[in-house]
Amino acid sequence: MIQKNLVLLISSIFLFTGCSTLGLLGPKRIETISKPVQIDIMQPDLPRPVELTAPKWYVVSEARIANPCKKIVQEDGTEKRPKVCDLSETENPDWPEGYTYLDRFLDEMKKQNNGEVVFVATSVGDYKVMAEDMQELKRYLKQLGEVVVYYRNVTMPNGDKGAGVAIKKND
Amino acid sequence: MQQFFIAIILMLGISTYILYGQNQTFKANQIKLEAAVEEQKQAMEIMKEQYEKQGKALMNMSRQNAQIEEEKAKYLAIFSRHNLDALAIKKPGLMELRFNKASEAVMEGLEDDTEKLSTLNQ
Repeated sequence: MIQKNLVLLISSIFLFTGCSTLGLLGPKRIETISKPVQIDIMQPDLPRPVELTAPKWYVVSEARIANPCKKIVQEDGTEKRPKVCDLSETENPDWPEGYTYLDRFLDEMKKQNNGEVVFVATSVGDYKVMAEDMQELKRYLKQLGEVVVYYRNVTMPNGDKGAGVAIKKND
Repeated sequence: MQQFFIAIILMLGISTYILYGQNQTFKANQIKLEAAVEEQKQAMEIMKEQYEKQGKALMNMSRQNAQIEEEKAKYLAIFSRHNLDALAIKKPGLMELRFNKASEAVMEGLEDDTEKLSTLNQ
């Protein structure tokens, strides 16, 4: 009788508990762990802008420089430049007859260097090369600037949206 | 017989207690899982926004780069259109003026570009 009751009792336990008592420890508690991945990127100070001075170019050739006559006031009050005049009545009376761009350049160099002719020269072709190189540098600088702007835009905090992906833990 | 019923009731009570405990754990787990799913959804949403933002910024950068290249090509086209040697021989005064003006423009352009960049933080 006792044995019968015991069997009945045990079977009732399994019947009522749906065999859950087999795993005596019961269901395991789930632990969710959310790690925040807020990316705080310090935005560095950007370098100060460049301060440049443009060089002065001289285009020198043996072409004559026009030395126009000085304007003369007419009877009606208007000014007119005569086509022919003496050298003394020209805009630059100190320029001799047939004064060329080369002469003017050499005079200018002499004036700058205490009577000596000293200058650094370049050809038209080399000027072109330098201008092209300058444009290439400008392009590189500008494109590099765009990359800086890109990185800055994607890493700057925007309102409550962080720089990177952030997961908040809901307790 | 009475003992048997008492034992049954006792067992029922114990099993009900066990089941109740398990049920509570399941409920807590369910809440935690739902919260975790919600967190994941939020994270995905933020990631999506971030990708969109990056995509837009990347497109903008590509557009700007193309413009910069175009600007450079436009400037260099001047050299291919004109024979500078011939012009310098014929009109040195005019060319001198052009060269100096262009040099100044390039320098000023560079100054402006770097000025824009340096004021990004303000």
